[in-house]
Order: sequence, then structure tokens, then C-alpha cells
Amino acid sequence: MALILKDKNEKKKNGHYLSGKEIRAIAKENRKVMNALEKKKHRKAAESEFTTQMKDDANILEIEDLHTYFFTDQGVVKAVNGVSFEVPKNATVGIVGESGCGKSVTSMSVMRLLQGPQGQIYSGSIRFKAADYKRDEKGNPVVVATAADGKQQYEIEEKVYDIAEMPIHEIHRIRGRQIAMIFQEPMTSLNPVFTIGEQLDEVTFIHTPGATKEMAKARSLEMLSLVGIAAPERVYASFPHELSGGMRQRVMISMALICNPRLIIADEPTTALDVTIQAQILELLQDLKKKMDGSILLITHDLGVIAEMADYVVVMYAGRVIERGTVSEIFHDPRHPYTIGLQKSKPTMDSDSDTLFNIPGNVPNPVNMPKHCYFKERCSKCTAKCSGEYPGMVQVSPTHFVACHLYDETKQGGDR
Amino acid sequence: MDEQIKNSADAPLLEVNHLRKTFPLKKSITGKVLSELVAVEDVSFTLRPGETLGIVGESGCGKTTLGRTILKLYPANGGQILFDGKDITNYTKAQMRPIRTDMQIIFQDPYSSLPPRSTVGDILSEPVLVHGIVPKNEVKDYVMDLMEKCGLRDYYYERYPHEFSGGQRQRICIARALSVKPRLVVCDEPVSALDVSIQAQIINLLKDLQRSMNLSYLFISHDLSVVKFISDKIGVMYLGAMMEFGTKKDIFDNPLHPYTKALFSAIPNPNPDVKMQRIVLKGDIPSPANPPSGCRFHTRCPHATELCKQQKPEYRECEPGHFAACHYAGKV
Repeated sequence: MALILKDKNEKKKNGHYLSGKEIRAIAKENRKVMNALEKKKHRKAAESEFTTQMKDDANILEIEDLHTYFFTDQGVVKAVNGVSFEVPKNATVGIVGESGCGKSVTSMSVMRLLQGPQGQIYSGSIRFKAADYKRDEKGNPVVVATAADGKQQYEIEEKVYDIAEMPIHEIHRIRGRQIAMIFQEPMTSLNPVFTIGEQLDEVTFIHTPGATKEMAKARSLEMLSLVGIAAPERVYASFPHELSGGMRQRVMISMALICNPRLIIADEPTTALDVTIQAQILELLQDLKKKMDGSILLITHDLGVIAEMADYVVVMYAGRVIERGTVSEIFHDPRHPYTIGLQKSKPTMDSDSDTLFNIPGNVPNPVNMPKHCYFKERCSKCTAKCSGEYPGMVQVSPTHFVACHLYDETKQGGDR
Repeated sequence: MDEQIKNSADAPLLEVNHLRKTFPLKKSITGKVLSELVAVEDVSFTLRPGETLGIVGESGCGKTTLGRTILKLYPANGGQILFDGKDITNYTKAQMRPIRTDMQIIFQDPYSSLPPRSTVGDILSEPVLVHGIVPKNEVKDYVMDLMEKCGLRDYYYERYPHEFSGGQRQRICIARALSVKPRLVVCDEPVSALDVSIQAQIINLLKDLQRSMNLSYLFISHDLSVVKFISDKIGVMYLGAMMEFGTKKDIFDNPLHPYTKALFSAIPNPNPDVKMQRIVLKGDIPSPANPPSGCRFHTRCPHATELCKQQKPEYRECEPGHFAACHYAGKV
């Protein structure tokens, strides 16, 4: 008994132990914030409230100071805590990080797929350049011409939406149509009781007004053959369980491509697949990128996949971006101790060393993050400064940014 | 006496000859097997004390079944398993019991392989008490010592598995396997559920423990770079059969089988400047319940000929200690 009591006190000191009273207080506080955010999510808003301007016209997506929180009874989990990066047109941006670093939550925020009311975009902006119908004051699309069979053509214009500000019922303007997503586990993201064809056609029906059955089927078959499926007619009629993992992932990719999206978010597209199948899918994605006119946001924990696919790399750790730059900057000139450690700790096919470099310790607890740099406890290059404020982003080259106190003095492209 | 010790160090700890394991798919009313799935077919290798044998292959190639059959968690359907010179293939459970302390397993998923209602101390003491490794009054000290070796703090003794992260749990699994002082440890994908930075910690721990306790590992993984790092010998499996077997140097510097070559070239290289000439295999892995005729790999092989479709290639020694099952081993 004495031992248990001692243990409890120890936990309390460490901040891991919460009494029922404390939990209720946290829950009450959370409910207030969550209700306000939910209200904002479901509000009616005029289009002008969520249209904005891009900072740089060459970008398709700009994320600025994004905070996505999960309100749990143990405390607020800041899954994404001030993330900023941009996706240029026709480029592949890779987000890399360990599990729990917030890379998937970032993509879910862009798609507004967060599980409410606990998961909420707390602040920040996600600007996306969309090609949407021009709308009149009432919000109806402006008709340019009406064909003989009653089919209407609408005027299309470029608009910049702030996804974080959009009411949730307006999100269908973007989700699926302008931004498509490929999920990690193809088996759980396909519906087992519908055929592949029905699921593919549905995308066309939802996003193209006045689409006929024949149009939808033609488009689905076209996409299936585009992703390298040899017998599209057969796959069109089959159920998901009849296909192998690689085939299912191809179907997922074809589903994402149906609406000609400007941005594809691929969330660990090859993690559930074998190496030889992974090679096939990566080759397909690279091939498609050449064919389609769009950008890819690739999320993965595999540095090899990033090196092969991406043009720009964003390294995340514990909900923050710690380094970003072009792929050659990140792989040949990594600056942050975490990026360096991550690359050294992966055994490669060429190296012959006897022991692996390892980063000691674990990722910190996402509730009650410290004030100082989150990597401090695991870092080998700590200085006195690291106990202070969280380091800001330091620019080391026009495209290379790092959040570490080691580079504070050498601003603007200085040497190490 | 000295010579005897030398002999025992040289003798293989584990020898597997033509091992075969099948699972029945369909049975008649009388219990006769109508169709079966051949999970492991004709696998042979030897493992010496202190060595690591890496087994690589894609999902469904029978690598896990191989590991479990060697530990006699599944009964073998043919072939021979020699452990320390004794033929254990047909041993009963009672006969296996004293040998169990010599062979242990570490599972892939540290989240589902630890009992949630036991403390770390209980988990680690139980095998020690069951097998009587040390006298009862010394068990706690022994476990504490073991925990320190595996990088676990002493105050973890009273804690429960759910309080730990994946890497720490895998350390507990390793400590549990080593608590009975085994000589052979089957590591069934011990790092694939972990993050890269934690993977490196666990791999280094396994290497250190091997050195200090003279362990033999059968290291099963789908990650070639990890297998290359930890293994002395490597076996490449495809659809239940061994495709190529040899020392690390043989396999990596001079791969003979086209499947091994394709497997190596499929790994993404973490260097953006190296654009590898990929051998991308077409199609999917055939179902093991209905394997292709002739060479199992001919449906996806870029060099397949008529001969490959009809005749099964022999698993032969192409170079000293380097085996391959291909008609054109080394020629393509």
C-alpha cells in the first residue's frame, strides 16, 4: 500500500496524474472553446468572408501559422503548433516526421476532415488557389451558355480561399474537386459493399452537375487505365476484396484523379505495401505528375521515398516545422540536429558501419509541451540558449529555413 | 577438454533440412485434407552460435511461418530441425519444455504482445520462476540486472505496459525473451512497428546483447537495409521457398537470383542525386494457395523462359556457401 501511495505522489509531481476534479475543470474549459469553434464552423458566411489573396502567386497552397488542437480531458493536445509552409505550382512537397509529429493532422486540416468537436483548427490560415464557378450575390453559379439539351456552362474564375475560415458546408467546393486525397490503408478507405465502378462513378456524379451514367463510366474507365490497370472493365465491376493491395492503391489514386485536382495529398501512400509494389506505385505517381497539371503533397516517414519523389521537404517534430528546404538542401546540407540524426539513424544499403547512430530518448508528451525547444532533451548539441524560448525560424539560404538556436547568429545565408 | 569446447563452438546451433509446413485449406468429412497451402517448402540452412541469419521477403512469403515452425509453435509437415545436434522435429510438448529456455522469440507488435494486467516486474519474473533460472530469493535482483542491461530504468518494475512507448515496450519484450538465458532468439520483425529513431536504438541494443551474451539470432524482416545491417548470413524467400542464401557479402555484392536483384533495386535511396536504374517487377505476388508451375517467380521474372514455366529450378550451391534456386543463376 505504501508503495502505491508513493507512486501516486511521484506521478503527481511529474504532472502525469490528474484528479477527477482537475479533469472536470479541464473538460469544462474545453467545452467553452469547442462550442465557440463549432459555432464558427457551422456559421453562414458570405463568400467574401473566406476569400483572400495569396502572398506569392506562384504557390498553390500556403499554410501560415496553423494551430490544430485536440481538446481532451487530459488537456489540450497541440498536434499542429504553428506550422507554416507553401506548396508551389507543379511541385511535390514532402512532409517527413515520426509518428505523432502532426504530419497527418496537417493534411487533415487542409481537407477539413478533423474529427469534431474535439479536433479543431484553432487559428492560422490555409490559403488555397482554386478554380471555382463565378457566383452572383445569392451564391449561385453564373451561367455563360445553355446548350440545346439543357446542359449549362458556368463561368470559371480563379479564387483564393482561406480553408481555415470556410464554413464546413462550403468545403465541398474544394474537397474532392480541387484537392484530392490518397489514404494510407486502401482497404479501409474503400467501401466493401460497393463495386469499384460504383465508387468511382459517385465522384463524377457529386462534382459534375448534370453528369450522366455513361459519362461517369467513361471517365472512371479512362482513369483506371491511366493508373496502369490492364483490364479496367473487369476491375470496374469487381469489389475491393477481389483486388490485391497494390491494385487497391491504384484504384484510390484513380479516384483522386477523376476531378483533375490541382493538389493531391498522398498520406503515406506506400506504407502498407511491399517494397516491390511500392516501387510500382512510386513510379506511377512520378509518371502521373508529369501528365497532370498539379502539385502533390506527399506525407511519409520514409526518407528514401522523400528523396526520390519530392522537390521540397518539410521536416516536422512534435507538431512544429523544424526545417524546410529543397530536397538537396535537406539531404546534403541538413542543419537541424534532428534532421541530421534522422538521416544517420537509418541503415542504408551502401553503409558498412558497425553501430548505428541513435537519437536517445522519446518524443515528448504532447500534453503540456515545454516552453523551450522540444528537441532539447534528445539533442547532442545543446547550448545554454536552448533552455530559453522556442527557437524561431532562421533563414540559411533563400529556400532553406531551420528552427534551431545553433544558427541564430548566422542569419541570411551564412556558413555553419 | 579444450578441443571439446572448440568443437561445440564450431558446431551449428540450429540446422534445418528440407523443412516443409502446410496449412489445410479444405477438409473432407472424414478429415482428409483435400487442398492445402504450402507456406514453407524445402527450406534448409544452418546457424552457428553467435551468428545472425536474416530472412527477407515480401508479405505472405512464409518468413514468419518459418520462424514459428523452427520454434515448434507449429508442427512441421516434413523435413528436420536439429537444435544443438538433437533432432527436435517430433518432440512432444513435455520433451520441448527444457529446450524452450534455449530458444525464444520477440514478436513484431509490442502493443499486443505484452499482458496489459501485469507489471513489468511480473512479466519479467514469470519465465524466470517457471524455469527456475535462479533461486527464488534472487529473482528480483536478477530481473533488475536484466532490466538495466536492456536499458530499462529500475522504477519501471512496478509499472504497467500501457505506460510505455513502443520502443520501451519492445525493450520489455527483449528483456522477457532474454530472461531465461536463451541461445537462439527468433526476432520476428522486431523493429517494423517502430519509428526510425527508435529503430536504431533497438537494433543497437540487439547487437550489444548479442556480443555480451553470445546469442544467435534468426532475424526476420522485410526491410533489406535493416537485415543488411544486423546479419551475417541472409536468406531471401519468395512464396514459401528459399530463393537465395549466402553470406551478407555474397548476397549484396553478387546477387545471383533475379528476384534478389529486383528486391534490392526497389528500395528507395535516401540520396536525391542518385537516380537508380530500377528493375520494377510487373504484377502482384501470386497466391500461395495456388503457386505458379515451374519456377515460382516466373510470372514476374524479367528473364523468364519456357524452361522456367515448366521445370522447377533446383536449389543448388552456385558458389561455395552461396545457394540459389534459378536455372540461370548468375548468368542473367
